[in-house]
Amino acid sequence: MKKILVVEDNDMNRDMLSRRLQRKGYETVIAVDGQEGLAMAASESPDLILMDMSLPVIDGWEATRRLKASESTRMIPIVALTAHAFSDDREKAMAAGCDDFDTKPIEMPRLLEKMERLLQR
Amino acid sequence: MGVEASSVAIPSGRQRFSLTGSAGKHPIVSLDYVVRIPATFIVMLMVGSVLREQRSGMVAWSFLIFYGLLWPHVSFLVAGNSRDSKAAELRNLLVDSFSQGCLVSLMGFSLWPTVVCLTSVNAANLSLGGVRFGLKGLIASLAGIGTGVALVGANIRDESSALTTGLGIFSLIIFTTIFGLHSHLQTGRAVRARKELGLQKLRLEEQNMEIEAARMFAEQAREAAEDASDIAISASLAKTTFLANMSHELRTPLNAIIGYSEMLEEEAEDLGHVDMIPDLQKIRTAGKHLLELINSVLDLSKIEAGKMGMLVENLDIASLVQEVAVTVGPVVERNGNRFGIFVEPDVGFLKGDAMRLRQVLLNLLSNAAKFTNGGTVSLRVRRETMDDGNWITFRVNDTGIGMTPEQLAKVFEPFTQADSATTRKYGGTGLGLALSRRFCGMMGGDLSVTSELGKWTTFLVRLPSEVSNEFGEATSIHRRVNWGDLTPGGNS
Repeated sequence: MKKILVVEDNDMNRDMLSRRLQRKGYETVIAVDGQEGLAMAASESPDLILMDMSLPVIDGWEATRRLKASESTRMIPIVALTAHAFSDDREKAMAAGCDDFDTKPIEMPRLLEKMERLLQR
Repeated sequence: MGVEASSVAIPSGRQRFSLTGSAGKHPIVSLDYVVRIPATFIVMLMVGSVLREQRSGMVAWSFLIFYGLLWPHVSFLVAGNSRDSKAAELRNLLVDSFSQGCLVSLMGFSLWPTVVCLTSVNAANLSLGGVRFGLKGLIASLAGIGTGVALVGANIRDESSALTTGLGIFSLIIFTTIFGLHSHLQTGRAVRARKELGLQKLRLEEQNMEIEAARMFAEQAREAAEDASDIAISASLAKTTFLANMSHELRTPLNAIIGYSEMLEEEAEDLGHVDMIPDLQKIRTAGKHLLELINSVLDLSKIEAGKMGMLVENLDIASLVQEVAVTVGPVVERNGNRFGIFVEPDVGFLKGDAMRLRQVLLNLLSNAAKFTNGGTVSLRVRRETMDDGNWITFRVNDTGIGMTPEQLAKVFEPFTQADSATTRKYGGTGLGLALSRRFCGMMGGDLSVTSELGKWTTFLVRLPSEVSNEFGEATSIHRRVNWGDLTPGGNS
């Protein structure tokens, strides 16, 4: 069973996302901010990380940069999630080191397709 | 003599009486004429009084009479008919100088007449021709004196008769009077000219002040306009920023609504609560509609704020249309409609923003399907040359309810569906067509519509074969992805 780390500060989004992933047969672990996300990524060794970008303490871009800079977490694929309507979020996320990008609200089939593509690499 | 002088009428302004008829006569020709007639006459009297006393011969008398009576007219005719009348008149003045020099010798250098002749002729030369000409005149006078001496010998009279003296004094007074008056006239003219100049300068200064005032006024107006523009721009920016933030704030709870209703639907299916599924679907559909509305308002405000990016690239028209057809096909066929797609084989490529074009076509097709029941919805794509250039045309035709002319007139205005009853019956945000038209405009094309009530409607998208990228590089990749959430619900 693949283990997915969901880093998301909004309770409802986090709950919803992890429950739907569980229903699709994934194991999920959760983190509520960037700092916790870094810690969980190191301790839980997830197969993939879904990272919200606007996070408290350490934001998603900085967390991604640190994960990609560390030898132990470099190989974990990261999918950026944002709800911003303005700005070049995709470029920003990719520049930070994310492997893919999706927007909220989550369209489950689309997200699953992106996740599967990364998990099969 | 006096009669003749007035009949030939020299004073400037009456040159139509001129003897010569020459139009380009220099003013000094006429000026000299009026001076010369009395002057030579007086000189003739004065010199004549001396010649009479000396009992001079016929040659001297003939010369004197010719000079005194005829020379003024001869000189006037010569100068008037000459091509360069000024040069000719100056030559005449040299003849005067020479002649009077001769007369001085013929009179045996009688003191008063000598003084009169030489003074007057010298003064005339200086006043009319300047210093260098004055020198030439002096030389001519000396030559005249020499010629006279050669003719009659150098008799020197050292006294004059009372008559000669009187005439000499009279002549000198006349000459000095003439030159004095002339000089007075010139001075007056100079003074008036200077006064006029002063007035003009004053007027000019006034005008300058007025111009400066106008300039300052314009500058103030410009500054005010700039300030107003700055305020408007910052207000518009504030509005755009507000909308961006607001839409974020609205989306977060909306995501929860849509997400949980989707989840519940899945769960209801898994647990066999089939009766709950339609209600859950209604919640999700309403949520998506609201999301679409928010996105459309945001798009419109982005266009208005000039922040809508365009990603212009070479598009394979056939494959883009294929993609659209696959997405929208099920929606079109839902109302029992037939769906036809006709793409000209050699339609080729188009420069445009793929996402925007897809959005426009999806919007038009789902719109057409919505207002058509058991009819036909078709999309025809062609390459066409029209009066105003080469276009790629997309015609979306339906055999639906059609529109009245009044409805047609308002169809592209934001939030204007045909009427409120239509909105209740068919749904939609009322922004789709407004947005579509703006997207077409941004790609250098246009969107128009024709319709017959109760029969059919055709929307025509025209895009130039080459689309200029006037909106610069795209910044809208995020929206590109996000928009996928909305299809195929895009509607008018």
